[in-house]
Amino acid sequence: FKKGFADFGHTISAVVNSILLTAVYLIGVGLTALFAKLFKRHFLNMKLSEKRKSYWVKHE
Amino acid sequence: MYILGIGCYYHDASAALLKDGVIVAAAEEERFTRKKHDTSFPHNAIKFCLRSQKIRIDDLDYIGFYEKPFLKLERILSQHLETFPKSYKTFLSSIPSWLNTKLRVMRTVRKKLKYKGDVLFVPHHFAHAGSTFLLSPFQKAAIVTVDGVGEWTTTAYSLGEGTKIHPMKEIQFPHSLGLLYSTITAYLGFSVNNSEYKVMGLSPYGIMDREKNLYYKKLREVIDIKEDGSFRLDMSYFIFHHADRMPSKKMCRLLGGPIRAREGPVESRHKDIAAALQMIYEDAMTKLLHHVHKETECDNLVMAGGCALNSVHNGKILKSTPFKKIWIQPAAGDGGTSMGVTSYIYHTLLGKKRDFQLKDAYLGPAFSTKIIKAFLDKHKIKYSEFKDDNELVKETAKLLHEDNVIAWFQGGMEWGPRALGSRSILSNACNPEMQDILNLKVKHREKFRPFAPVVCEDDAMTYFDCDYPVPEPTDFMLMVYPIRKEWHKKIPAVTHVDGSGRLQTIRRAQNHLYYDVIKEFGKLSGIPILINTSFNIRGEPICCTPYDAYKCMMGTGIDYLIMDKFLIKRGDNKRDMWDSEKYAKD
Repeated sequence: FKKGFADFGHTISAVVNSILLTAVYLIGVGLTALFAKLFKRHFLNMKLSEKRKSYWVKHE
Repeated sequence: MYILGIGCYYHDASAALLKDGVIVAAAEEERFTRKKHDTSFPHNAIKFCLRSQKIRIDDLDYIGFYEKPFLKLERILSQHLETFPKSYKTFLSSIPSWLNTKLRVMRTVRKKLKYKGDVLFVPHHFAHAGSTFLLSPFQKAAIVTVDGVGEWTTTAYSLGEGTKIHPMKEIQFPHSLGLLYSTITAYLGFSVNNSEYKVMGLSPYGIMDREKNLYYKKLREVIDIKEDGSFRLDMSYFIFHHADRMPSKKMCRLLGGPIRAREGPVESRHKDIAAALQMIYEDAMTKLLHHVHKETECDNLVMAGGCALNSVHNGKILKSTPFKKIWIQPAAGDGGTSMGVTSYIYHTLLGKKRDFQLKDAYLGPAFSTKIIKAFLDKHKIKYSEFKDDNELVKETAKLLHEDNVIAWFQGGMEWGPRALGSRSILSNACNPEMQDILNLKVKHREKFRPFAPVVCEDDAMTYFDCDYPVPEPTDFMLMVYPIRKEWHKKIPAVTHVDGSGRLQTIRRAQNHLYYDVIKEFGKLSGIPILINTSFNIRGEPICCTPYDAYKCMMGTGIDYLIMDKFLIKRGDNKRDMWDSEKYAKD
């Protein structure tokens, strides 16, 4: 009974964690990503450019 | 002054200990836990480092960590933001480990190690740079660090002068030669962060001609390489920035088929893709190194980062670039960063003078004659004892000449991914069947993979078309060179399909017993070259303890184990035999 109860506890805790993380992802990450899209802001620099002679960036 | 360096939580956890500027102990956690590429906090490696100097945690002046966790988390969150909502799955799987462990390094050090002193966090590529420049023979050198990714940086070059490292320029995530190599490794059905060297070994079987290899032109579409060696990846071919897998469907379409199944047949298409990848890697690196030489105006080059383990390219550097001398950290991958952290803190941050060079890699646990004898007696293992080193050398050479497979366990365990004559399996390189014997009886590994030769440094130029003088990274098995044509048929077991060999050179001052055995074997066979392969079963880390060594021998077709001055014959201990073949997996 104790083992079953502990397993059940773990399952419940994993489900709650997933729900919380999903909420954080949708609200936190989602809204930030949405605003970034509105203001054309990028978090990763993924563009290729034929015009650029170099992709090196100075170490800050 | 004692400084402990720690690296963990990504791959290849390790610890290293520096005493007054000298590296006195270093080991990877995997050797103790027996989990290959173990990522967990390196408790065992730390314990070994402290015990080796008979000190306690309170005796440490500093502890250093190999990256800045918050900066890395910033990059990971940026990935999730940039790729929303595709990154949902990886967000769910990665964030809990960040919140529970990866951000709590300080807490772990305080709580688990009970350490109250200063903990310093060194940027990842500085740890790589420290691991190579500060332990090299050069007082001034160009430093190139190339890996998958650290915090943001994937490729960087700096100028090292005395104790200082001046960072110059870098390339940032997601553009990475390491991640490109890993992506194609995954496409070819091999494990990432583990089997990139297999793709390198597979490449000579493909068409190594830029005009004739169809996949070379195709793969050039995924990377834009500028004349100065800087580059960017076309991210539509990759999904590593938002998923656990690496190549995208577009990449599969480009390469004309699905990802190869693990353990599936290796077709000629796969060989050509491996060849194309290696050529593109070499294109980028050659341009990059020309640019770095021009910018730093320095003839000495030091390298680190996982890509510095690409020994096929390393062997071409001095011929294809203006650099005149080269040095590479033996544990060039992330495993070596713990050592870099200690040197960086001692020399660069504290400004202490440099007068130590890393000349060999035997920094791991060593076992005394007394301990080994006690182990053998306790387990009732049948053995014989050599009366002195001279008898040991002569008998070992004789057994090798008779085509026996010998496990060689002597002194301190190697630091880094290569077995260098401390935990090695040795055999006769002149026997054309030896490659099959080792694959079938001992290593149970893919047939296309070559075995490495070991030769005394003073004989290397006779058999190999090396740079002259033989560069020191060759001592760490980090350079592939062509074998001179007249020897191809005489050392078939170590001659790769393209006539090259990933040789290890050994100098007597580094390991006199190992050196003497090779020389003695040369007297018997006429050729002083042996096969040296790592002492482990496929998928397992290299042996660490006498127990690991004995267990490995009894589970494979190794004929003899020479451990310190004891000779153990597998055939004399039949009750302990077992079959390792079904456990031999990556």
